Amino acid sequence: MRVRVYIFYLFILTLGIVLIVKLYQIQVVQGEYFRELAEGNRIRLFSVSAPRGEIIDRKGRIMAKNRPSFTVSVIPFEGEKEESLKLLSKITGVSYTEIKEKIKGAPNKLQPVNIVLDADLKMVSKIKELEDKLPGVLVTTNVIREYPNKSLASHILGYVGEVSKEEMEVFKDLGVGMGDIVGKAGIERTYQGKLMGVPGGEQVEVDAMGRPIKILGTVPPIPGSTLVTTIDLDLQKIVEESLHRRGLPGAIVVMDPRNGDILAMASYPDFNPNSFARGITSKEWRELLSPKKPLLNRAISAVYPPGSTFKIVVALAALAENVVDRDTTFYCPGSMMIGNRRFRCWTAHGRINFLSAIAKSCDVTFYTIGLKLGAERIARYAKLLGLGEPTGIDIPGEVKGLIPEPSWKKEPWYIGDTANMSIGQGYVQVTPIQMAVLVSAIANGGKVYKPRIVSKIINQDGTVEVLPPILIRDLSKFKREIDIIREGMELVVKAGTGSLAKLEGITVAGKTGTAENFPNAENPLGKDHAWFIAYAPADNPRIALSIVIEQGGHGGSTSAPISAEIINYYLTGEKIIRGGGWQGD
Amino acid sequence: MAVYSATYWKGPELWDKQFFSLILTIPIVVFLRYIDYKLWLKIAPYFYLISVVLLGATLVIASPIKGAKRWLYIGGFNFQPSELAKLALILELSALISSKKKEWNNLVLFIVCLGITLLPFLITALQPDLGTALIFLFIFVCIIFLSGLHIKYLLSLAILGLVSIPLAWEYLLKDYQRERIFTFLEPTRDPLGAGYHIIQSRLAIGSGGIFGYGFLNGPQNRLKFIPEQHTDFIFSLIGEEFGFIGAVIVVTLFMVLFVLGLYISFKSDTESGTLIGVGIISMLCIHMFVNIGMTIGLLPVAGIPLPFISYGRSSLIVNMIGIGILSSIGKRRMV
Repeated sequence: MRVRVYIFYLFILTLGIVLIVKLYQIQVVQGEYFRELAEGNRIRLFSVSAPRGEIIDRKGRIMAKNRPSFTVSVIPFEGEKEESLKLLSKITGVSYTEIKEKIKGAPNKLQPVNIVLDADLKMVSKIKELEDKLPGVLVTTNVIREYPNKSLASHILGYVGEVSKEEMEVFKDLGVGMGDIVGKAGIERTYQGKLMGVPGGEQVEVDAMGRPIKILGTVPPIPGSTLVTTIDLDLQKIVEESLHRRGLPGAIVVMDPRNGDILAMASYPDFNPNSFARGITSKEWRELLSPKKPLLNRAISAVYPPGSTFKIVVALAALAENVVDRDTTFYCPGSMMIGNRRFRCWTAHGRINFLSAIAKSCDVTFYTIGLKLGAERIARYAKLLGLGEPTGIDIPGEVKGLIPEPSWKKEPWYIGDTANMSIGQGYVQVTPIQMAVLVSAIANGGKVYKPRIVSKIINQDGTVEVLPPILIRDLSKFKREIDIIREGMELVVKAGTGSLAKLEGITVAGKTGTAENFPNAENPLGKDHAWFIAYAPADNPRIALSIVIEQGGHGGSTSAPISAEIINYYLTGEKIIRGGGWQGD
Repeated sequence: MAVYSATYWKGPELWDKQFFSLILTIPIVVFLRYIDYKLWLKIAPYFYLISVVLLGATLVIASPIKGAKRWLYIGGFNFQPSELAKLALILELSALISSKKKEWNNLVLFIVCLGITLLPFLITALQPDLGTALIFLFIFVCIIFLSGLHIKYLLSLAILGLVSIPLAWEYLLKDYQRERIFTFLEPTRDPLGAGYHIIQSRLAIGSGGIFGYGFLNGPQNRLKFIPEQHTDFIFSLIGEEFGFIGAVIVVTLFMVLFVLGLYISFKSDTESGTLIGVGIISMLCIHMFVNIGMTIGLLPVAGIPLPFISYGRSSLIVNMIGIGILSSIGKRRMV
């Protein structure tokens, strides 16, 4: 029995020793060999990119998807012969010098260099036919980003392209590598991490020339997640048509005031994001860089003086600080001396109460109350309503605008600066998205929402991430004041400067604005920008919007009709077209 | 830590789960230490019956994971009845031998014990999980060997076994099991399919060299080239990230545990204590040997986890119960 105990001890120990000996053999004796095999010349890891996630609108309609395409590329090491490159140039239409340059710029002689992205079938079959005369030329199939609605919602979606050096730095943590396709603007960029999926890998044993011998292992890629946006493509179409019909640069933001959902957002001029996916021509690129700046998303990246739409801020400040009340009356003789300068109103309103001053946009009234409030107090309420700060919308490139304060200005702050500020002129600068958030907050009784474009992310494994609406600030304590402003805004449309926004059967509330400009290079005549912000139905708002048309003249005549077209479509489903006309500003 | 590294690239949930299981099982060990292990002998027959029934149930109602019916879903989580059955077999064999050795004819006792072993063996072999099935047989051999029964029984069983191997090859083994043995003999036959695990795992361990790549740095692991890296192939990750030194430390720690466990068992004042202890140690030992052996290409691939280290709760809990019982055996002797 004792013997058996010893045998058993010995047996167990032998098992351990066997393992250690074998480990010694492969890790110490053969360790170098295996390490070389694992990371040295013999095994290459190729990343297999994952199909990018789709983007759909709030009703599930496709905004961005993928489609298969052919890429023509050259392996420099094998394809550096002149006659074959000339032949390739003839087939592809890419100039010989351009091909030559691309090959010269290749960091690795064995890595294929892309010559034509999204080649058509004719080109591909031609290359296949002349294969023998084109050494090192490869035709590979891959997927390419496609935006089936072309330029529709282009500023929201953004576009994709090969990653740049700076972007590699930005997307470092996501594991983006050289040559990867990444989102360059819009939600394509914001949600790059979700859309890109998880690239797979192919472990290939290669020979001394780097040519694959056999595949040792593959890990399939996991496709990217689907983004569900808050955009309503039908409405987006109406918004863009309405904007394009004016033929002037501008932007429109349409929001659901109840939760901050962006229902539509347009900026004109725009671009076709498909052209980036298939490789952009130099002509197209020149156009995109033209002074019209089609790549600029004016809704979030351009600032404008808000003009009279800013009177909503001043009105809230004045009511909340007890400077005025609903029935306070003023006298407008058509202008007013402030300091040693005469400040004008657009007409002589005569005796006018506070509500009518909002409706008729009386500057003299607002100079008066603005001076009583002072710039600091105006600025405080402007910031409460979200101005002077980015709204936090989930697309990149947002700017914050400017709410000036005496402490901000380096030179002395004059009383005239306060007067200018009271009517949204001077140093005040806002973005259309900020004004949309502001008018939504008035519409919903004081809730400042963070605007959002993506509401849900559907992952490949079926899990759904819901991105809830985010309330930034609740100003409900100003409910009484906001109600008075809402009354004034209803009056703007009913019997004031915004009457072109009026609709049959729907009570619309709004505010016009005409932002005055000094002449400059882009605007040699110093024409006014036309603003209109609105919400409807007035008693239970479901839609809020802000519109700015650059050099469009008066807000009431140019932008208010656009509002009518959009709101009518959204609430009734019926398309209308409305012309402009002078209504006062 | 190794599981952390392995699961790191699969998301933190797995890591959390395993860590909590580990924490939760520590009280089990402490609790069992203060329970008289002889209690186990009394309930051994029932325990055995229940686990065999559960094992049988897997054949009928389990949902196959990767083609094999090994799992049962009870009370909100999956568990593997075969893990439970190993423990039950150890206890039942020990109970039977220690109580009946003097009363029964030795041959009868041997045959009854063999029958008790063959029941779970056959069920798991049908699941099909031949690796686990063979573990039942191994536990049986170890316990009989140290029970003092005449060695001629074991020898005749061995001869019978050798004779039946060709038969088993023909009729008992599934295609994939035959394939595994083929690929074990010649892994490069099918590098993307059956030989894949062996090649990748040996490559990972070998490339770890003496010192390894360092924690969370193993390229094979990070790139997910080793499937099941957090379960059965965890050792390839240890070898890759911690090198020869780390691998030897792991094997040595196991050895220390086994020798201590055997010491406790042989010093036990009751035969049942010795046999239970030997059974538990032989169970842990064969798991370790088969698991590590397969990752370094010493043995064919079998779905056997590495005790305490592989991700998997059924096996962790059973192993911890084993340690708890061992510790109870040790404590009884000393007082």
